[in-house]
Amino acid sequence: MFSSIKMPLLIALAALPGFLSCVQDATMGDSVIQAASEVEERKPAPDFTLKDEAGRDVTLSDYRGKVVLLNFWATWCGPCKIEMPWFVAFQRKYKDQGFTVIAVSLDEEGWDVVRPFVEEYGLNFPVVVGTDKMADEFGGVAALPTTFIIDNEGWITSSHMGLVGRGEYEEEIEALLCAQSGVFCEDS
Amino acid sequence: MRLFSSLIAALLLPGLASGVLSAQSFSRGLRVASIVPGPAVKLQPGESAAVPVTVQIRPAYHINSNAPADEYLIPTKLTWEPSLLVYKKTDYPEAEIVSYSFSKKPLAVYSNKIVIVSHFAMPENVPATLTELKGEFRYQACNSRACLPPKTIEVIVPVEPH
Repeated sequence: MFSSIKMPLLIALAALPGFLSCVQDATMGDSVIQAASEVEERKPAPDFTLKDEAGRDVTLSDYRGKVVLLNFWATWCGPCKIEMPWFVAFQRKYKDQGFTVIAVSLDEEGWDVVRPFVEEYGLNFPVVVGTDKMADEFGGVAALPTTFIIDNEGWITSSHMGLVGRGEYEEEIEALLCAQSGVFCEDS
Repeated sequence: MRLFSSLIAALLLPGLASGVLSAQSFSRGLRVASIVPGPAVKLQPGESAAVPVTVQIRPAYHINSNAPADEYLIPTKLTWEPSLLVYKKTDYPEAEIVSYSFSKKPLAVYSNKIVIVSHFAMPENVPATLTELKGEFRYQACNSRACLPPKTIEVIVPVEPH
């Protein structure tokens, strides 16, 4: 009897996560793009090399040893515009302590629309134009903004989809900088 | 037992497909707006024709209006493939002016259900073989916390030449 049911059962078990996801989507509606979640299982950040505005390579693994806030955004994304001034402030505050922001634009029009935005918002960190493929390697970026916090060893420690509070990011960054180099610890 | 287990597998297979789809590329994204099918538009030779297109927008989301208040935003746009009819213009509904926490100034948006009306001129002789108009509806949606990539969906309006 086992042999007669094991194949359908295996298929059913394989399908279960997708099924649950489907049910969740149907019942939770717009929470599809409201979730801000911690990463349950540590995953290494997929490496990438993309060009910045000046045509220079920006390679994620070159930032090994630093805490990285990797932000997927687009010029047409309103919530992304709220976060950008925060990220400029983070870069100014934490840059010398082993931290950087890297912003990956998913604008279809590329630098034609991204360049004016970078200038208008005074972005002081590496900005690159990404691809669907690259976003997919991070597990799929379903909505913007989506932000990954990556520790100094290249592990993704958290991911956030949608607008998140500035304080939440600061806490996470400072906790990682504390663990990494003893700065921004509560009692320091 | 075989029937039962096969039934379970059949029921859950769409879930598997959904799981695969959830990992699809960014540009495909979630569909927030859909075209509501309407009755065939009756065409009178030599007269103008108003072609309504009804769009249903998912609750809690909005799409930008045809003339958004911010230069970076992507406007909603309905375009038509060339046909035997002569395209004249498209009237978009009046936008809602809404303040969002993520924007310093109020935005001009559409939500819930909207009707866009395109106007065409009819030539004197329209063949009976003309049964539909084809177009594209492009929009970009957000909710109060996040935005989805711009999306283009097909529009097909049945027509009945007289």
